[in-house]
Amino acid sequence: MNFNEMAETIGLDEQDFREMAELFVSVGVADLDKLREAYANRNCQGVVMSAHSLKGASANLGFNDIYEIARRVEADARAQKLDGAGEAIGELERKLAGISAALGHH
Amino acid sequence: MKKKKILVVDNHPIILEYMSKFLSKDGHEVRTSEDGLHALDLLESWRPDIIFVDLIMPNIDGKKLCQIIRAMPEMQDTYLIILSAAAAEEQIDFRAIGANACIAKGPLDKMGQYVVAALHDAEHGRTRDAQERIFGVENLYSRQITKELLTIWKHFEVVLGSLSEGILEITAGGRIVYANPTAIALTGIPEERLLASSVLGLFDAKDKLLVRDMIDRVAAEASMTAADSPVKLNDREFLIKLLPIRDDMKRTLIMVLEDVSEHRRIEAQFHHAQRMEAVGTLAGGIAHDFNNLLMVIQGNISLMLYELDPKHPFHDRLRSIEKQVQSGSRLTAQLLGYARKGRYEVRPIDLNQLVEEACETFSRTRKEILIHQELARDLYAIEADAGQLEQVLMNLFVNAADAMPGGGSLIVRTANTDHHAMKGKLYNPKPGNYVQITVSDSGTGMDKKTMERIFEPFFTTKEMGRGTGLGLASVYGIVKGHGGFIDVDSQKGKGTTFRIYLAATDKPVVRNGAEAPEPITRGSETILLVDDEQMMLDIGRDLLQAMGYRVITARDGEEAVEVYRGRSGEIDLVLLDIVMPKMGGGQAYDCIKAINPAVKVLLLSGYSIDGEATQILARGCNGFIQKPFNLEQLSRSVKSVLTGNGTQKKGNGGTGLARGIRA
Repeated sequence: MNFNEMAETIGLDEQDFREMAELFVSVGVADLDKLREAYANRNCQGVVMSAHSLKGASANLGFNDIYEIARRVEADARAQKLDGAGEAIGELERKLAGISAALGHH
Repeated sequence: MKKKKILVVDNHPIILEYMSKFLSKDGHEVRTSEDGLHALDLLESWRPDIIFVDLIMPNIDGKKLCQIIRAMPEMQDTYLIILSAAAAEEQIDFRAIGANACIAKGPLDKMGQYVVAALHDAEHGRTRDAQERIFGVENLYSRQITKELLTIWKHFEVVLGSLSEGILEITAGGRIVYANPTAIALTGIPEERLLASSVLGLFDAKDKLLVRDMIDRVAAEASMTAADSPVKLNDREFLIKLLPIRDDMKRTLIMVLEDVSEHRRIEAQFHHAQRMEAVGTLAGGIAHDFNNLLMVIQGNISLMLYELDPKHPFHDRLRSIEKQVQSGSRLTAQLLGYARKGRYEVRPIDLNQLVEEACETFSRTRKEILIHQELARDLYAIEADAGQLEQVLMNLFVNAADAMPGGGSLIVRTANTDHHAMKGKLYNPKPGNYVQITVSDSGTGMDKKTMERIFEPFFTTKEMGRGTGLGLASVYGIVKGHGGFIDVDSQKGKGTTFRIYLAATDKPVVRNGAEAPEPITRGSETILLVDDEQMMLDIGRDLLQAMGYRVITARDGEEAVEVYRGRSGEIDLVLLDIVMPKMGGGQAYDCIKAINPAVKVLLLSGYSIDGEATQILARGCNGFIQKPFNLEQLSRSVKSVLTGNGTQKKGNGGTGLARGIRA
């Protein structure tokens, strides 16, 4: 995860980007909690909303893998499909933890 | 580029953080707000050069925020840039809401470039025109979820816009962040000023505390609450209801304002009418009972006078008591009139005489009013109830006097006229001669609006407690009841003139009280006297027996029918009370009539001839006599029916204290 390169893309220095990424992780964890709860309740609309939020924030900062997973979960839930959501939630959790860990190395 | 003061208003923390860092690194002074309300609070003490505004936000959205900012004189030159996450889904005209530019939110790398371009425009004071696209719109595609949310919001906007209730969204601190069109209209405050203001500022001082308590309660308990009694807002009355809204973004309250002013007015009017009806019924009942008491006194006086030598020292005293009974009877007649159970005794009268008497009475009570009488000689006679016309004149005089609080002149005119002279009026009089009465004052006059309503019951311009609003309404009712017409001319500051037209008659005037008392006519016939009150039976029997009649009594309708069935051959006349227990006079009359269709029946009642008596007379009953009556009146009525001259119609030579039955 090259934060310096990602920072440059959006016109910030690395330190500023790291702070943005910290914020993204905390907002992302909150979205993920809502996603998990909606999935547990088989609430498709709730899954769509939280996946949509996660998708937007990740796209803004350039976390493209998270963006892709969130986009897929949103599209499936919109079609009333929640089959892959459980697995996707685990994947999103790991990705966010990965960013968090990367931020912690510095 | 010159360093600028920049405000960014957006509820998304990542966008706020990004904009803050991105703009700060070039040396700009940046402040951020999470919603419209917070931004407005910030603007009170800090004036930025440029403001970035998100469109979809809680607590006053971006569109409203731009409009409010543009309405502030000190913010006219501030450069407004919309940051829209829904630019592709919503057809937004950013210039219409007062913004200078619009940037579509998207990946931050691109958005950063658009922010730089927009700042460049701002530096040169350039507003993007209609031909230019929104910054970044080429990278956008329409997103389903945004479209759905916008559609839902648009539906709700239509619903909110069509509600008859005012809807306000307020923060827990009582600041207004949304108002539907009805709420804006009800408060009479423009939306730009209403939003962000305190909701408590809308209410009267005495209601502020109540509303504050309600807000605190709903904010703490998160359950709906409604006020028990209406609160005042903008001179109208409202029932308010508060509902909490809680989501993870915000905590606000919805205030529902239901305008109950009209409902309350009708309710008050209804209660007033009910009260009047109740008072009327009570007054009627009292009058009835008093008439029975007066009847017994009058009967005894009559009997004593009948048997007493006119030279006896007690004779004059008895006459004096009789006069007092007559005064009492006039009082009960007024009570019956108020209860709308008044006599309707139509006979040919001389209006000039009535006017003179009314003027004299009125002058004694209101000395500050100078009355000029201009009465036509040889005025046509009219057929009217003198008592009711006196009430008409008195009400008009009182109305005129009240319009001249410092005193003034009242002119009363009478004149002969005819239907030709009444052309151009709103009504269509029957051809013939009429008598015109004009009552003019030099008082304050009325405007057109008041004039349109003066004859409405309960309408009054007098202060609380002074006018009942029934005076002119009864004037109107009485004139109409006589088949007449009334109209009014008035000008503010120039006085008022009422004109009444009543049909003339060729019948000779019957002068009230001018006749010599008729001698008592003795008889020997048998009379069945029916009344539920023992004292009435006693005095009635004594009076009739004093005149030589033979009397059989019955205490109610059932007994009367039974007696009549067994002794119809010997009974020449039935004297029948109307209001009785078990079987009333009406039913008893029908039963007796069925036994003998040629039966002669004279009704007697403490109520007036109106109502049930009129109906019984219409079924062929021979006459009516109102309690209290004296010996002469009873003698006249009984003789009249016995000799076959007694068939009565309502108002045609009616009966009463002074007159009794006339054929």
